[in-house]
Amino acid sequence: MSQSETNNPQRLMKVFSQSLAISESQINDDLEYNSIQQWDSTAHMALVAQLEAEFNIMLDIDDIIDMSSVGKCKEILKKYNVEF
Amino acid sequence: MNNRELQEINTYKLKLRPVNESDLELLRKWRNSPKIRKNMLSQSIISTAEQKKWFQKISTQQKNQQAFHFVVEYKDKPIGYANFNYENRQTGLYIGEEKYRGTILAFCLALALLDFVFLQLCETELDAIVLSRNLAAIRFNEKLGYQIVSDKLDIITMHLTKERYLQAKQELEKIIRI
Repeated sequence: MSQSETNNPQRLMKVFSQSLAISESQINDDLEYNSIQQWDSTAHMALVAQLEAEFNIMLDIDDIIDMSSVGKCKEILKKYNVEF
Repeated sequence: MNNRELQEINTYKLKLRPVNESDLELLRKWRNSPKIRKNMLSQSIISTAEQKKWFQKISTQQKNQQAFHFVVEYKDKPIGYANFNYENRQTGLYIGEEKYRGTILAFCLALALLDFVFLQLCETELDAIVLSRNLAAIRFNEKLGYQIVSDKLDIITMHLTKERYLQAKQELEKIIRI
């Protein structure tokens, strides 16, 4: 596992924290959209933009729509060779 | 074909089709759900009889081409509702299916609807009335290019021009690539 892969959980945490404007302590695999006020459609858009920039990927629209929790997000990122 | 005759829209992964009588109970269930109802200007619970009356009204509107009312489908399943009314130059939309609420799909729907209004119907301006406590809708509308033009009591009026929409659309399409 490369150094950047080792850091992927931390990078993902930072992306979620910044795009949803929440503290890192609130973020875990079970955190779902709509479960907190901050994760709305506009935040979802910001989240996707930051994920694509951070991991240098282009997400398919169906994958974006399917990204319903932090855990699901990790699963989807694996399809784009982002390992956790 | 007259632009106003367009009955079905297929774009941004969504299908927007006219409301049928068989959709009424599902629409009523969504509209009466607390999460959607709390953000409506009128927050009363809609009865079956009122829903049928509403359908008669929108059927007349659609026949006379005064308004368009759509059921929104994603992957062949209904997930929401959208409309455009010529009388007040306003659109309305919501994602009713819980699974998809709070996702980027709301922007797909907004783009499909606003493309229809600005590019097919050739409208040049739209207004939106939003409850001032509905911060999510205000943020959402601003992302689409709407600007706040008045803020009175608990009601915010927003305005969108075609030019501002097309600029906003360019930014949104960097993420929503179809």
